[in-house]
Amino acid sequence: MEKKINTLCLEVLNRLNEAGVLKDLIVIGSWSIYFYKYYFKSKAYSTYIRTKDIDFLVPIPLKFQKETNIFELVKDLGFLERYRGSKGYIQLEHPDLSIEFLVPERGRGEDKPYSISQLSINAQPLRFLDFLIENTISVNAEGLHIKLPHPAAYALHKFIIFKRRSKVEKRDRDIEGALRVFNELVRHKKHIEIRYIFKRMHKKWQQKILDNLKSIEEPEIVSILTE
Amino acid sequence: MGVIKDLLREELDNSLRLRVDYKEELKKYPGGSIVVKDIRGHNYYYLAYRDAKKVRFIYKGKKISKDDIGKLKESKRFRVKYKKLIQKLDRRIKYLKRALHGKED
Repeated sequence: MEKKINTLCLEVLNRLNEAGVLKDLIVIGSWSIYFYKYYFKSKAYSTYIRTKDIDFLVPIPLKFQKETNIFELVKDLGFLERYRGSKGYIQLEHPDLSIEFLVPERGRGEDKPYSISQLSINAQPLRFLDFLIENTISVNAEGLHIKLPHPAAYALHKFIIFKRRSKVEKRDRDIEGALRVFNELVRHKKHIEIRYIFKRMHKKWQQKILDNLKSIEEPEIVSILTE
Repeated sequence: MGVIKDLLREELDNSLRLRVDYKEELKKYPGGSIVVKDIRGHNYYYLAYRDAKKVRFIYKGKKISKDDIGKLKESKRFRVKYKKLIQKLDRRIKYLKRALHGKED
């Protein structure tokens, strides 16, 4: 089943790539953990239990040069277009994969979907996503260049947002995923990169991360960040 | 509740919802095939489809456009795809219920 899901995910990414859209999207969420295997290139790194959701972060301002209907690109794979929740965020659903789109929320924030007419979709605005856009890497996965948040940015972002989760299981998943990626960075002796990204964060966010880490009793990570 | 069990529960809820969605979507794509009846030397086109135990015929005309044939082919393709995915969801729901010792309703 795992292999089939990966094949489907790669097929979606391949179609986005052929349509010239993939280069302007960042894969975030638990699928990043999977794709970091192409960054760490180590057998010890486990890709973990991830959810079916693949979230695409769309940087603003939008860079798409031509119109592409993303749903039409993947419809024949069996995806359905659905509108999630009371706000109507678009979700492309398949039994093995669920595609969602996110944009960074700025200013006071608007509690409604952000329309991306070039892709015939809408996206959910969320806090702290600019930080991921500012710290990206590109990995070569099966011949595809996939943009991801830097693993340190991924982990630090999760260390901020886990406290904002209302569901305990999502909170636990955030923490486990972040720790897994962070520990792998430490194993690869990427302390300088971790600290560089941490120091570039807003002071308030830095403090929030340190407080959150103390609340889950992770003094070693705190000391790595504050060394 | 453990993380694994929560994931299974979430997956079961999603699968049940998605199965309903696929069944709804299936209704948008008519089944059946185009058949030609030769009546007194003239060709008449019908859409033949199964309705429970009966096979029904809907008259489409003396000619049928390539566009209509294309649409029907596409409809068939989606029906096959969605039916397979519904079967997949059926198997998954059964498995997840067993894993959770839960009931469907």
